Amino acid sequence: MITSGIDIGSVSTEVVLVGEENEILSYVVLASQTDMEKTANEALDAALEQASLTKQDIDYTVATGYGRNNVPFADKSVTEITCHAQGAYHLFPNTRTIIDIGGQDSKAIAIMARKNREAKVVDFMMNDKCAAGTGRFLEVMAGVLDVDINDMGTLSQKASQETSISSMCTVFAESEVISLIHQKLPKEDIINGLHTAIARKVLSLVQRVPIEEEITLTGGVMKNIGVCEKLQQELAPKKVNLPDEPQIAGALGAAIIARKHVAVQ
Amino acid sequence: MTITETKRQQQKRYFNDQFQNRMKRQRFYSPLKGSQTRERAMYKLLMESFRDTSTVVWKSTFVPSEIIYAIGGVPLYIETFSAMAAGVGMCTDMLTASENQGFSRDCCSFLRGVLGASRKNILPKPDALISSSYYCDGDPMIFDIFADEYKSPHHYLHIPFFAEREGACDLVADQLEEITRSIARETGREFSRDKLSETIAVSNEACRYFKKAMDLRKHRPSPMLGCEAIDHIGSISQLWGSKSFVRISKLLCEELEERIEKGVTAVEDEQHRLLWCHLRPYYNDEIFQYLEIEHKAVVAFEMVNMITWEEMDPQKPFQSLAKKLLANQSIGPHERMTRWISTMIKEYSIDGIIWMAPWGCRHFNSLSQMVKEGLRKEGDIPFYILDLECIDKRNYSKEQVRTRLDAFLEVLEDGLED
Repeated sequence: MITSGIDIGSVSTEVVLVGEENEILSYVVLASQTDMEKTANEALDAALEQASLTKQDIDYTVATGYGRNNVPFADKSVTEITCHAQGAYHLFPNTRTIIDIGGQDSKAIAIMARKNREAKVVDFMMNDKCAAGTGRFLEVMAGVLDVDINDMGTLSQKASQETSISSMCTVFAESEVISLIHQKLPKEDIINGLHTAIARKVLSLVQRVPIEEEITLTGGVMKNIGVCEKLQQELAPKKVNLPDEPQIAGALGAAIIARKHVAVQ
Repeated sequence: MTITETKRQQQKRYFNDQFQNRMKRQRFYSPLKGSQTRERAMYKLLMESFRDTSTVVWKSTFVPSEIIYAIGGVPLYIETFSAMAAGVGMCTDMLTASENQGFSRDCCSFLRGVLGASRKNILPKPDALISSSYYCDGDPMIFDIFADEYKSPHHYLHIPFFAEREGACDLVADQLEEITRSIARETGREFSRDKLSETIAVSNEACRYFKKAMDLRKHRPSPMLGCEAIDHIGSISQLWGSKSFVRISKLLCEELEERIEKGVTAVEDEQHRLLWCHLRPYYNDEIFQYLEIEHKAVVAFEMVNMITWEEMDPQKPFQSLAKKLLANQSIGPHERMTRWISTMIKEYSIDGIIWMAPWGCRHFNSLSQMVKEGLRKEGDIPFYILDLECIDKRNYSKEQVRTRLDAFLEVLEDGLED
């Protein structure tokens, strides 16, 4: 039995293929295009090629993310809440809280374990009303600072002092960053301040679900080591897990959920 | 501001047209006769408020209508105007008008809608206004604006936070009596204790029927859609004290009994039963249609229809009205609300709770997490705080809301497995 999970987010699209032993056969991460169908097909083709498989080898596909209802080859769509829960639980069976920061939203998910090695979502929260605490926030700030978003993590590790970014509105925070640039504050310090701000914003969301160890970080923003370190500092001494590829947790969870549906058929 | 006869007729015709449009709007369900009668009663009340001979009293949410009916006045629960306006798609203009006056979009959109409508001069002139201090705390100050604009007397009703403490009832009762007598005097209407007692008796009769109707909704599967039921806003309706509400509530009882007897259900193959807390988006029915029809997650009951007061004593009218008012579980410590919701969960066999948290509603946003944690101590009921807007459609993001509802439905679905 081979299943696939596809996560079409606002910024990136991931496909994960899962094999007989629940192992990851291959995965692909692509930038999301406006044509979601095209992106989905390209990502799936790339994952199949990587695993030397064809579409006929796939028994079931579950789609997730905001584009989940626009995947023509998907057999079912499931929200990213359920998929991230299952994916994180698969990677870290002792996890009970998941923090996911994506391109457009952030999520806090509380889970409990079931007998059949599935995750059951007990509670969840999603970011309220604005882009603060999401990847979009960092994208905007990377533009203002004229740095590559992929470099923000390592740059912040070179910071020499703590900088405060008080506003959590993306637009107002942008004004603050511009002021700090004019004060000739080093970029590294500003980025460090942004990471602190985003971590605190996300944690205020997480506090509203029961936080239990272990905590697992997922989503594309978790590839930013600066944000991860801030979260780990704030959550210490609780154990915090970070997957090697945090952005594929949703697609992985989707593929695992797909297995359940093959079994039922 | 002078309201000429011509202007009144223009206003009346304007609303008449809008209301007729609403009645023609297609719904995804067939409303009960009781619900249709309620809509006509509300419409009639609004039309009556444009008559020159009417004494129009604007009231805010927690002011009892009985005192206004008792002096022969027309109670206008003014926030419902915004809901109606949103329902016919005219609220964006009104909200923009209030913003142009400098009112922040962080304020309650119900009140902003009325402010805008007032600026556009499309509301019936109030002969008097009554606002209460709790829990819609924006009401008194904004009613001051209306009072100044219309040159009408404004009466404040102070509601003590600790509603169950000694002296709270007397404090409210005394104010209610003073306000009733003052308005009668100011508007040239007669206050009669007998008339008030009679009005309270009418309210009691309607209450017996309404309570019974709501009890019938405990039946599984649900005989009535939440989308339809929530519009009755039973706990805060301005129809209390009117004979039309007796008729409406009696009809609801009869129809629900008939439905249950015949096995007619709100939806086929009901999957989940939800408790909906707070009001709802009035600009469209999308969310309820999505939950109730597409996903068979029926809103089995709503907080806004909780009848928390006992039968009133017509011989002690003001005391009884005060008790009724203070019985509202939104007043006072959050434990009051938590206890009632806990009871609703059991009685209506609730699987999950959607707590709607409008942007500008300070009270409800504050209450949400406390009630959630209070309920968590008692059991594992899924509880989702849904950020949503009642009136301002510009703050409605369909796909975001749908994703959150989908995730919540998956939690409920998951709950069916062991």
